Amino acid sequence: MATTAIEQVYNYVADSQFTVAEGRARLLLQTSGGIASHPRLFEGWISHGRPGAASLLTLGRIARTRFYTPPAMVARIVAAADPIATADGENVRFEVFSPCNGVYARLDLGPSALDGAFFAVGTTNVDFGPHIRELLALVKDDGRIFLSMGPDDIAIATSGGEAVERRVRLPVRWIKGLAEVQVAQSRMELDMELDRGEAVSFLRSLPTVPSRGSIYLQRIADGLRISRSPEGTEVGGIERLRVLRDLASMATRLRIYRATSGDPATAWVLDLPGMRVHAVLSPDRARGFSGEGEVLGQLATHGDGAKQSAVGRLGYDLHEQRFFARELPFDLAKVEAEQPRLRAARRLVADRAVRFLANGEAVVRSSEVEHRVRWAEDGPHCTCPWFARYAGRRGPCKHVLAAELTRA
Amino acid sequence: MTVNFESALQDGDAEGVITGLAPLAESERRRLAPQAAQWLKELKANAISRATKPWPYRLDSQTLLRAARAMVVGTASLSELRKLGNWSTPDEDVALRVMADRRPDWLAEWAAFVLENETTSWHTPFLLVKRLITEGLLPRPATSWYPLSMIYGLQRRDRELYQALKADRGLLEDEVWRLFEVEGGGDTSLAAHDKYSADRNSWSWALLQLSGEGLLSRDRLLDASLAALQRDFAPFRAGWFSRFHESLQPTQAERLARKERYLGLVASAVPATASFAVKALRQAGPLSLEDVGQLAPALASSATGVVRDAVRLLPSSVRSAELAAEHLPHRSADIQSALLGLVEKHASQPSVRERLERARASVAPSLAARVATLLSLDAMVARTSQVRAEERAAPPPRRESSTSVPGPIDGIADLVELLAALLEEIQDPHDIERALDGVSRLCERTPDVVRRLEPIVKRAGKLLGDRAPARFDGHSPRSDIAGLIIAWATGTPPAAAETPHPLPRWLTGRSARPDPHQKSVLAFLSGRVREVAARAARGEAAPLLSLPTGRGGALEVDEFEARQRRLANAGRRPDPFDAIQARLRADGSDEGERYRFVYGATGEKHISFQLRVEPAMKVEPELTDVPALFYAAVDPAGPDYGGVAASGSTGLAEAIRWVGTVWPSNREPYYAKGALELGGNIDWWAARWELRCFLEPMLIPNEPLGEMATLLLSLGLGAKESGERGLATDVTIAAVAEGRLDVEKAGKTIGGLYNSKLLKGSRLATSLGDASRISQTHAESVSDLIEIALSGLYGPPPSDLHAPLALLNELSAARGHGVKRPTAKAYLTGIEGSGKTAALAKQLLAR
Repeated sequence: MATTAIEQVYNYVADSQFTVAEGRARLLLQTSGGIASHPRLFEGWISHGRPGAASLLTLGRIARTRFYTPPAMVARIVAAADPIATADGENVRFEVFSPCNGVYARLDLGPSALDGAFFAVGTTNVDFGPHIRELLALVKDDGRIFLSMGPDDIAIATSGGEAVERRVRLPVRWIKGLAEVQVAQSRMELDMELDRGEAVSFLRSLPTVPSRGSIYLQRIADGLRISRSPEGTEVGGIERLRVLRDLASMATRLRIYRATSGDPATAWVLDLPGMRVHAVLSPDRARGFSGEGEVLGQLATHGDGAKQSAVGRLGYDLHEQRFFARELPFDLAKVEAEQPRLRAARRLVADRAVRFLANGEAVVRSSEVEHRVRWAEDGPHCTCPWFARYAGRRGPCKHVLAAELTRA
Repeated sequence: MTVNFESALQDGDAEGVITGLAPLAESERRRLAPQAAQWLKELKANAISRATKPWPYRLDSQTLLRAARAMVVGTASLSELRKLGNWSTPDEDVALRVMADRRPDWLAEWAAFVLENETTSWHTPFLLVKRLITEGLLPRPATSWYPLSMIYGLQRRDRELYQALKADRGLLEDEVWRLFEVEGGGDTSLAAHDKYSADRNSWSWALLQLSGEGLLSRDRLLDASLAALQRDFAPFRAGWFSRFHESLQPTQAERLARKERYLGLVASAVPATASFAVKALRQAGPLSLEDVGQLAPALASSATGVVRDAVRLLPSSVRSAELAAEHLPHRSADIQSALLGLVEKHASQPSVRERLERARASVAPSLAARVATLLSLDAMVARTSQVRAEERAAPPPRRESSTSVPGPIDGIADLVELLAALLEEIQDPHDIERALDGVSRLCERTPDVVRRLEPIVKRAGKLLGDRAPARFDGHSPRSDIAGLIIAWATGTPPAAAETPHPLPRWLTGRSARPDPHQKSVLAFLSGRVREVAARAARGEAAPLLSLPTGRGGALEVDEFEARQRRLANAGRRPDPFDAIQARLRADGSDEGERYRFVYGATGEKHISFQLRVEPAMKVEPELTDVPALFYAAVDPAGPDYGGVAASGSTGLAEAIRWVGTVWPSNREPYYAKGALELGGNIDWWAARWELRCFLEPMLIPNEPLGEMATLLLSLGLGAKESGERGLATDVTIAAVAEGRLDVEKAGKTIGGLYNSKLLKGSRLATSLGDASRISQTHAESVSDLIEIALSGLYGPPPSDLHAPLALLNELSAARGHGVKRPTAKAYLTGIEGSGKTAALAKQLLAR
């Protein structure tokens, strides 16, 4: 039976802390896993405390919000995962995923926002509990915040805090989504740009209840308007963007990226003083990134480099249009093994269920029928219900994968 | 003493089990675990199937289960208990005694598991865990489920919550305070509990009482409730804490002492919390100048009430004026006006002027004169108008002007994939036509073709087997496609007359009448599919006459005639339904000239929309008399062509879209049916998502908007459901840009519907305001439309007239002139009073 969840154990030497003493705000984020048990990554100042605190709060909110609850799901909600933090020697990035797997968000603190020392390059989980959220809400105006990521020896010795261990069941699909969203971003292009006033006005005008059917964004003279007719940029589950409203008034601009192919995943990048907040929305609020299947082709047939991104070892920076390295602090061995479509395709290959016809088509025997796979200009086609429903927009079906594995 | 556990279990002897287990070593207990788990599973299986099978034991289930659970918790490992789940958890007495004897090192983990998995609004393990704590077997669990389990865990019919808390002082020292640190979810939260509890059994009442008696610190309660609000809980759950805080009725001194906390909450993402904080600050007294900056989030709020309260709180100062100028770009002209009030006192300051200058492009036209005065710009009004006019003169978003559609399918592989896609979802009705045409031309039954069809035959069979509506009887286009595939692949033609599909149970109210789908336009379309299916089963390929050449079902006459010639040259006669359809698409019909539509709304409180066709149809039309079928459908009891969803009582989007392509030269009866359905559901009584599809053909660039189209459009503009309203707005924008909207007709229709209270002013203002943003032409059309609608009003002004008047006021100000139509002026002159509506009427008349 396929594993549906893995138990993630967050092990912190103490609770994260936020203190304000003599007008100085200090944020000590405890770390767990990654390059070490409790890596110490960065220590220094974040200029522009208010946008920094508000951005972290927004990320925290996304990490705890289930934007979509399947009808059959009972009230018990998957526990929120802690944010992932990456330090690369120049930037500090915090990443989160909503429990429903449909919204990914990242805060990039760039060199102009950071004044301090990097102790290591790596990725880890950071403790971001309710106590921290409560205190971050009190950050005033735009003062600086002292940020410490990871314990130093002194901190461990003097904090007097007890080790904190928290177990969270993370669905495998949640972790798979972390890999999928990077591929989705790498296939996006800049679509529109709004100034602060337009961004505030647009985010205020978002519907409060989930919308049904497609929604399109149209650029008009005084900003953006939401349309129901298929002209403009398609956005699924647009109401999810309401989570960014509080940041808009501090932002200098909002950029909107859209997918160049496939279903309408969109990315929204808010530029704040010295930092950027990215929010990536899946094509529909009922669709998590994990099921998009964009990485399957890479896992099946490409080399090691492509596989790196497919298992989440690469993140993607839309602003810089490049991948960045990050080793996710999760047990990814299971994730790599738990791609149901790829597993099924390998089984078909092992069962010798694929044969090729003289016209180049493949015949794949599966579930007591023969599916035809053919390669057209717009990619491989299949006669199965998965392809009929998504036409390749959510990655290849198991029959296409099996045919490509056989052909490779 | 040796205990025969098997007998003890079968006798339901929990006492015997507990005493028998007490002296056993852990290894001995573990040896008994499989037998205990097996017995519990057996009891569970029999308990679950009691409704259908007799209970096979002499003793009752509770007695047996009590003993079984004692045995299981006394012998199982933690992972085994997790696997067994809720069924293995014993009552408090049993748990306490067994665990006291056993003292497993995983007791804390087990308690956390039980708390997390068994806390509901009807049962919680709180008392069980609390007794383990009291007896010293367990420290207080760190999990948030521990305090959450207390929310419902203290309830007893014979005792109020207040009494339960008072009886256990330990709870008042620890557990109660932890309730302020956890959010909960679903029905497990303080907010959910108190919403459905009597006042005297609510947590809020109990805590207030205990505070009044000095058993709970009032100061701590005030602080804890504010701290909870800072934890970023969801709005519903955060609401409990702000209400509780206010129910403590803090004094001014108490509020002042917590000023910093309130200021922090102004930035809350929950509008109600931000509003609460601003109100609390107002009661705390005047705001100091150094705190002014912290009100910025409130000024940026989308909730107008929050902004208004924040404006009232701001002291008159340069910093306040700067902030107000920065936040001037707000959708509401009222809010802008309030913010300008703050700016006006310090407009001479360079920092304020600079911000005002930056914001002036976003100022509502009606306030432009005030801003001009502040900036000492005589030409300000003119310039602002000019800027807006230039902006709006920018071309509206490019519309797809082409009316062309994808051509015919040219290969079997493409056809199979199209059919497969249609079985999953039908978005574009033209795809159904292409599939029909493709099967009609390419329906040879070679072995390769039959093998290629294999997977979609299986899928089609599944679709028809899943209680989907039957094929070829006007219920569902997807079912028809499934039937077509099966007929082609199996070589079995459809039966001459399929057994009428029994109506689903939810339609029993209509079952006394004949199935309304049997003689409908959709049934005619089903007949077309059946014709092709019959030929495909025989492997008899032939071209179709009716494949549309344009969007919305249009068929060029030249192409139609060419197809007829080709068919005749091939010595073939067209299929009867195909011939009817092709002629209707190419040549139309003058059937519509016989009928007219009458509509109106009745009622005072519950407005009912009615529409009928005159003269009334006396005879049920035949399936081949398609125009008559359209008119017959404009009757609630007439044939329904909306299709039947397999999973509910709603219609099908694809059915409505397909029917819309049948008579493209006269969609008036189609729009009339749409108006009847949408008008009857304008306040979204039923989730009829398919109804918006009636509006879609109006987006075709050359589609005429007749009386019924205008009626449907007007209803759409005032619909509650945002999708219907949004699509109607898109149609309005397109129709204005393409010169298709008869503003006079639309204004009169909207005025009539608004006067009858079917439409709401606020919804109309939202949709029309959105349309007016596109260009100067759109702004003028909307302005004219509102004036025409006003001209048609009579009687006392509707209570929400201020919304369309505010829009008209801004549009008039932007154009630099007042109301043009004398009839509209006359109506405005008659509005008396001092309210918002009267004030706007005066402003409009004064311009």
